[in-house]
Amino acid sequence: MGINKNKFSFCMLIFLLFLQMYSVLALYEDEIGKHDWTRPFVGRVQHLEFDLPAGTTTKQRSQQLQGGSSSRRLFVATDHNVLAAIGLKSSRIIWRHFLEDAPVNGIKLCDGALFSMSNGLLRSWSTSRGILNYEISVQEQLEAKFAGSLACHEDPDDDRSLVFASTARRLVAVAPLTGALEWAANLDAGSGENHSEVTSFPNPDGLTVVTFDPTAGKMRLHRFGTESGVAKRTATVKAEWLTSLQRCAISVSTLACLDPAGSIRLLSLSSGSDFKPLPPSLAEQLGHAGPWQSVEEIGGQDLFQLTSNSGAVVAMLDASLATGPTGESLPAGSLLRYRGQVRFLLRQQGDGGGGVTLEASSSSSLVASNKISLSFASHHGRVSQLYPVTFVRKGGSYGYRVVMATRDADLHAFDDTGERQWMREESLAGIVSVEAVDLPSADEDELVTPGGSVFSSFAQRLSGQVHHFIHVLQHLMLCWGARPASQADSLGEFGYPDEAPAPPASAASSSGSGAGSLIRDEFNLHKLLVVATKDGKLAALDSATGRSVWRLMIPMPAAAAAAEGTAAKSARTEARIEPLAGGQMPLYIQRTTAHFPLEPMATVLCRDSSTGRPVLFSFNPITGIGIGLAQRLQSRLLQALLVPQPSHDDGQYIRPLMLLSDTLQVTLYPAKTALPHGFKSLNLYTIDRDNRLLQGYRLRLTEQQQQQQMSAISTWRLALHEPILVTAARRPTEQVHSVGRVLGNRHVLYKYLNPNLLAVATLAKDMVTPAPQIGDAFTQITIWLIDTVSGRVVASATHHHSSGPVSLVHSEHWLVYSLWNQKQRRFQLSVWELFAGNGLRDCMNATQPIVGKQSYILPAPVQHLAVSQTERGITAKSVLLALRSGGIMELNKAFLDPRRPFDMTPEFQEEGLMPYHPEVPMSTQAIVNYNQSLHRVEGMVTVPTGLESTSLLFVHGTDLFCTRVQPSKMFDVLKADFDYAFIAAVTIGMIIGSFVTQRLAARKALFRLWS
Amino acid sequence: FSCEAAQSAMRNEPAAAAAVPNSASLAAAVGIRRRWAIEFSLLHHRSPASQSRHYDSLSTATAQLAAPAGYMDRPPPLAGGREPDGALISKRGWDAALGPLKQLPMNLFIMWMAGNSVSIFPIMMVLMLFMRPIQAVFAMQATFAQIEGGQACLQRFVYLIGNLAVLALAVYKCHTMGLLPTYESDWLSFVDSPRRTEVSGGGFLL
Repeated sequence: MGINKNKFSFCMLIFLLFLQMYSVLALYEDEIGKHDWTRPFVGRVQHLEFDLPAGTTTKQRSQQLQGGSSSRRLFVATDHNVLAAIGLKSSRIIWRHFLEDAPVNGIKLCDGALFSMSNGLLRSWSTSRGILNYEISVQEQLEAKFAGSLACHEDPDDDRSLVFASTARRLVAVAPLTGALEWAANLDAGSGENHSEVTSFPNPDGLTVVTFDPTAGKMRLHRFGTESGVAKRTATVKAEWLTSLQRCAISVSTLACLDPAGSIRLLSLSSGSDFKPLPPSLAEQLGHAGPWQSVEEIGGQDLFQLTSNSGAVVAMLDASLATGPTGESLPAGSLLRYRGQVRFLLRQQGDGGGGVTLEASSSSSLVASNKISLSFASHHGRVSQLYPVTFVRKGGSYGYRVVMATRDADLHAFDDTGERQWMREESLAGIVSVEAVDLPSADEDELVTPGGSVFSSFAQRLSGQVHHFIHVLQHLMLCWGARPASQADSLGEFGYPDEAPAPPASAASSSGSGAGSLIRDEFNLHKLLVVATKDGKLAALDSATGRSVWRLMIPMPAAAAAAEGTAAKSARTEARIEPLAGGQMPLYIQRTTAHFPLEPMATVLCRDSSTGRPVLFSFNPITGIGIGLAQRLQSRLLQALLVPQPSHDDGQYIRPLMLLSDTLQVTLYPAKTALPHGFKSLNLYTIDRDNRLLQGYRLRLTEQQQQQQMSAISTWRLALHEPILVTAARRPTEQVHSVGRVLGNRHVLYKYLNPNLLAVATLAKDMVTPAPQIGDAFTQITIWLIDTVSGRVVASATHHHSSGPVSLVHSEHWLVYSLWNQKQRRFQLSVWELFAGNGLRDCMNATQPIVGKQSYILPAPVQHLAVSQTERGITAKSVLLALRSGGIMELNKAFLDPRRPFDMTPEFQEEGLMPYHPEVPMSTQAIVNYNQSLHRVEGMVTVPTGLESTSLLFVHGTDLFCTRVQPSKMFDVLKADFDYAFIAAVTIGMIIGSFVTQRLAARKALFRLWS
Repeated sequence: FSCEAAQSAMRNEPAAAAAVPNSASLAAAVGIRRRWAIEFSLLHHRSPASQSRHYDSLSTATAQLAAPAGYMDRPPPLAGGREPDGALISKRGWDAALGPLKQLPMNLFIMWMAGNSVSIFPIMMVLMLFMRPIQAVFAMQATFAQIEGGQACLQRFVYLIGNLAVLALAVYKCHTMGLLPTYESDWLSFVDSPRRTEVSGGGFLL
């Protein structure tokens, strides 16, 4: 007992000592933001409400409206399920809430509070601080996916307002201020409840709710008053032709829907029992005959905006008249109302890149009186949505603001003179891939590429220095020109300035004044992060400040531009660039900045949405200028591989991109590059998530008609039969410094360093553990380690009663993953280390590694794992955990070591192992992003820098964050408080002292000789 | 430790002697001989009147008077000038030859006391242990010059063996302290990581 106690206290002591190690990672207050930056975003805006809603009648609201403009804000709900308030002047996020993983069905401002409806829950938020006032479950039973709708009924006569929230099954009416349930009603949504849709619209005496069951093609109308939950009118309407309520627009008395042929059908909500087509005469009157693309409700009084290929028109469509639907045509646009009165009509002209023109008409004439042009850079794409709002100025006149969302998800705000007030780069919330690029070096050593003859090297050097000189001159001239402009860049903290609109012909925006500072620093800590977003936009972020250096919309391939018109007409969808299957949009750095006279080259692989064909686009990652045009490939791709080395034969130093088509043909991109020599084989593998299949291919070179033909042969095939969750492979550029681990007895455990390992996590039903009393049966997670050259399973292990989310990270000879233990209800972190075995070979004549495994309890849920990367791999590794709570925790790999012993012996102590402790220590000081919580982390990228101790960490998701990580602290840099002056003084003093004493000693010796 | 000091002083003796050049010691011996000689006859027969006769009468006085007791006609001989005793030479030679071997148990004890931890004092002890035999081997010529007699060869051999034994002890001590690169872990940083010859890459279907 006593021994145990001693051992325990000893373990605790060691544990505490290691905890002490972390105290150094803490940060002083003045260091906040010195080496890191954060940019919070909200995502692509789906619903937007202004805090100055047009047409409010409540007195207190009108008082607020005329109050100072400082409190003006807009509320947004986005595709990241974020509910946020953004300052209308400052563009800053005032507050932000991350809702559950369910789409937000709508937001409404009602009686001074903000209401949101998502996942069948009605929530009321305070507008000023974003505090949750109350939350009401519309339906008792919560289901996975809810359709929902939200409406606000504000009676102009009395102060009684009601918020209606409905799912496809139930409707509740709630008093906005108190949250008291006034009444509830059940809606009969039909059989296919899970897919049922619902929409609602307030009318003067109550609410209309329409539910639609797409499986049965039945629509049900319910009209409710404000007093009770007894429906005033219920009707069932057959609509088999309708696919979704998304193609309908509901207004006070009319429901307008688009049928597949593109014509409008109307249903009267008050009396109709069937849809009536729009009479041809009315269509003619509307001025557009063509098939309609969309129908939208605007203005609230049976006004619909109909959009066709040739234009848009606003029509007042009323289906309730006995004679049939009638309509009235107006110029298309947005009606801006203030207290029920139309004040402005904004007509949008043109939706192309570069800008739109708005015609503002005052309500009296509806004739364009004021034309403003909203211009923005071409890299934003087209306008996707305009959100105008009108308000009363202090003098009593009316003004308006326009908030505009562009195709790339950026959000712009314009005032009524057309001047842009701010822009939020919300496109950066949708980053799908990141590559770091070293900045061009000013060092002459890099001018000469090794391997040439003396004369060629000399010529290269001369030309390189001439280039350098010209570059410096250009840079100086740019600086001179940009000096006056740089003062205008002081926009808000998150409202980043945008460049002047570039002509649409040029693909890239000019690199502007930012390019001047883009020179590599001493330790190569300053890099460019080239990112690709899911909206088909490329951008480069400065790793030091987070500023966007350049932005670029991936252009459509040239051949498609001609075909686009016809394709758009037939499919009624607009071609755009989108990620490949599974949201992949890989970036490849084909030529780095190390070959100075040649410009660097990066390539992005994406897809054209209309044809589904892969598109390749090359660009200069430093300047953001396209190299050539985008290319559309003729065949679909299975996989692409960037060959790790360039071929040195042609002097181009381009690493070729191997493209494997579905016919197993291999092509190189760019086509003129050659494969480098020195590789025994080039292999590719594909992971088929749908068929749960892994396949390996090998490149085969054949000579045909004196031309080298490249094709691939399938070498292996591995059916896992279980759904594949995640995979992880070693980074191809990873450096391993030491090939073994030294034990306490000074022997070596050699690492099993196979660079071609792939870790795969699969999910299956757990057949071993008995099912729990309550809830579903357990599942199990299997981790496979597969050699991707031979297809051999090197190791595998199964975790019973476990489930996702699984995240994997594989580096050097180890694998770390996190999973959820269903039985113990906790997150676990497991580690495998692979060591070269004792020469035992398996049937495929390959050595089998010895796998050490250990698991730990993680006291917090993890979203994502990453590992720090350094230039030479000497520095210890840190595992970086993106916690659900918003922190990024740096955990020394020494804590995750399968050799951590249960019984400590001096030998293990000698080795520096910690005794096993099941819980992973979580110190708040190990959180590298201190109090800047990062939500919805989608990826973490670590980049080695010129300093061996330091690695850059870039986290993307809804927020962007970049910092430096030093797993072994800064062992190669003198501390900031190093006393240079003192050391220099001492050294110089010693040198002087030695000279003086030498002279004195010589004199003394001379005197002694004389005496 | 006083014991040890005595031992080391003893051990240092031949080395110190060897450090003095041989010719110098000889010259010193000659100087001693020439410095003084007592002329007893002169003192005896000196008279204040016949000072001038002094030298004249010297030869006659010598011839006339019998030598006093203890007087030797020859000048006094040197200390080592006697015919050396063979047994003594051999004894001295063995003393010198066995010196390093005699220190061995003491060194063993000191090294055992020093422990195996790699810190400043044990390292200093080990360095001392290395320095002494190496110095002795370098000064071997001088030591060997002192060793004479019939067993000189054997004694020189024993002396060499003794020093080598001390050196071996020092090496062994380094080994137990882990300072010798005898394990593969000591050569690990020279092992290159294997070069990648097969390239593989891929991912989910595009």
